[in-house]
Amino acid sequence: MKAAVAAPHEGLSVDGLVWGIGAWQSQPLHLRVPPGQTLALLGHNGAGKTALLDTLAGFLPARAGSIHLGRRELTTLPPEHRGIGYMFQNDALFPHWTVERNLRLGRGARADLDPLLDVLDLRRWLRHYPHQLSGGQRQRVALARALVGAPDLLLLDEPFSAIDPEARPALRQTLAELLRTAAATTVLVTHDARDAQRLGDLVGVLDSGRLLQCGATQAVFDRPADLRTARLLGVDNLWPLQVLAAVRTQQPPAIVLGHDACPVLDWTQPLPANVALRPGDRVVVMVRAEHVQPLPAASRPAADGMLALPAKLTAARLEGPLWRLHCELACGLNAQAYALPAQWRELALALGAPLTLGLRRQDLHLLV
Amino acid sequence: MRRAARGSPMFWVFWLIGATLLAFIALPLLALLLHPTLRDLQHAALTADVRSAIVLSLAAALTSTALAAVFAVPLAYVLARQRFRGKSAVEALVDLPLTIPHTVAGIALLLVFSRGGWLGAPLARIGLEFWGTFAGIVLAMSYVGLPYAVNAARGGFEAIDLRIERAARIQGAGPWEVFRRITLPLARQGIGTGLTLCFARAIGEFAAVVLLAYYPMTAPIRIYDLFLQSGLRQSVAAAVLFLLVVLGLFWGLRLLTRRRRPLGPQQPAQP
Repeated sequence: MKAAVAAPHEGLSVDGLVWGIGAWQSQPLHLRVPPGQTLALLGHNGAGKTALLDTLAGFLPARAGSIHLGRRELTTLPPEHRGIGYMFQNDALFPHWTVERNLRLGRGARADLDPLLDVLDLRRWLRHYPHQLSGGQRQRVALARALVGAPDLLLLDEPFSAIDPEARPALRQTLAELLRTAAATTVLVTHDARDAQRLGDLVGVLDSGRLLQCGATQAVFDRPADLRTARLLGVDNLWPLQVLAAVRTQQPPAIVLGHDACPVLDWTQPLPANVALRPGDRVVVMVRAEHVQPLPAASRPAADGMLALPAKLTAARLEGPLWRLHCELACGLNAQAYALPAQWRELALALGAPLTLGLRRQDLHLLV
Repeated sequence: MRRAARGSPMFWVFWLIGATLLAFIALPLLALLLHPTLRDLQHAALTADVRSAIVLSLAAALTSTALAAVFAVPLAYVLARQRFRGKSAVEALVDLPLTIPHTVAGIALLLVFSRGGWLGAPLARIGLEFWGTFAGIVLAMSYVGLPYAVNAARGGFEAIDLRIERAARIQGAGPWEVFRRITLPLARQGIGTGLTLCFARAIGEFAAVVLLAYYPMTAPIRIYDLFLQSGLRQSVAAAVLFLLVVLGLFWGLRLLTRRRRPLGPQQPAQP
């Protein structure tokens, strides 16, 4: 597979690119995607994600700036000369052609289809027309068409939005493997933080035509730059807190953060550069639900660097293999945590029952 | 659910009103078809003037339809795919022949294409004349038929998802190849409907044609002429003969342009 599909690829450089539709226009965008890496751009509807892909592909003119693939400038090239594979949000298959003819147009005319047909399990459907296939099969054909002939750059627009939720994990897994083996430089846009997290080597957060943050996937998910980005990244716990007091006698100095004059936690980690907090200042503390550990009521911190917050259970529901617990902290703030099924059984909590939420200090992130 | 909706009183009322309309369309044609005897029809079919008029009408209508395919399809594609300043003015211009009386259209065509007209005089110098010629008949037919071809073809193009064309471009096909291999086949039904409507409008055109080319006589003019010269009986026989030829032709065209869904292997897809 690797030998047949992988080819030396070049990195994508976008410098000051301004794209738009009608009166709407983006902010200038600067991007670097190293060769063979996948950039997942995350954003809500209307963020300008699809318009950006259309501009990279040459369907919309760049209003300013430049696009380079390696040393080759793409900015004004027509789409057919860009060497790009594009998987559209709906599959956009040619409805009057069989799967094989769909794959054979243009770049695919003389390409070796065998590796793609095997990986995407399409060999059986070569003589079928798109209307004879299920949604998942059509998306696989669209993916094969985008990858055929080893394009220099791969663009994926919400690759899973048109298929059933049950079929998504399998296709996501297939796509992740394909991207790894094909080693194609890829830009993927999605509104689903899970897709971005699982498929992106890099993650960018796009909002109203502005790139809010871009970096290595784990870094962006662990340390969102601001509240807007944190919301787009699907952070479960965003607690608006106020500085109640700064305890300088303690080592290291602690800042007591609370809600409605009720202390919630003391902050002992280093503050971001150039930030000095005074009593009365407002901050947001974020922590992902998977970093919050539900413990029996009145549990004490198991180790240094652990926080134990008293809470009560308000709701619980099964999400895939895990239980998502909705809790209310003593100060009235809402908090969410995950529990393994065994852990959930062991806790044996009823609604309204008290529990303790354990957090490691290094998993907390302060947004000033 | 569907059965319940079909049986509701509202649908019965709508069917009753619709049936009145259907009767209004069908009754005159039925009366026309039942009026002449077989002998009358045979006589009309053997009359050289009637036969040549029908053949002339068919030839002129087919030629104007071919011209529509050449001129209307590109304009329809531009209107379907591009936004530009003055687009609504272009759309209004395309629709203009639908809104003006055809007698007025005939007079207007005369002013431009008769021997002394704006374009008629220079074209006459290269041997292309429209006054009383086959070309004049085609011209008048095209004028009234083209809007149908443009509008239906445009609908056919607009029904194609733009991303299908874009997918072909990004795979490496140039704009001409995309138009030829993707767009035209997918818009076939819309274009076919447009050309059929254009043909229908052209073959039945009387007012615009009679002003530009009374002779040679097309079938509608010949029928009118028979009515004036020989009375209802002769004209009805010619009319029915013309009607049967036209209906037969439309039946054939309809079969040709009917949507044909490509058939693949009859193996159901598994999810």
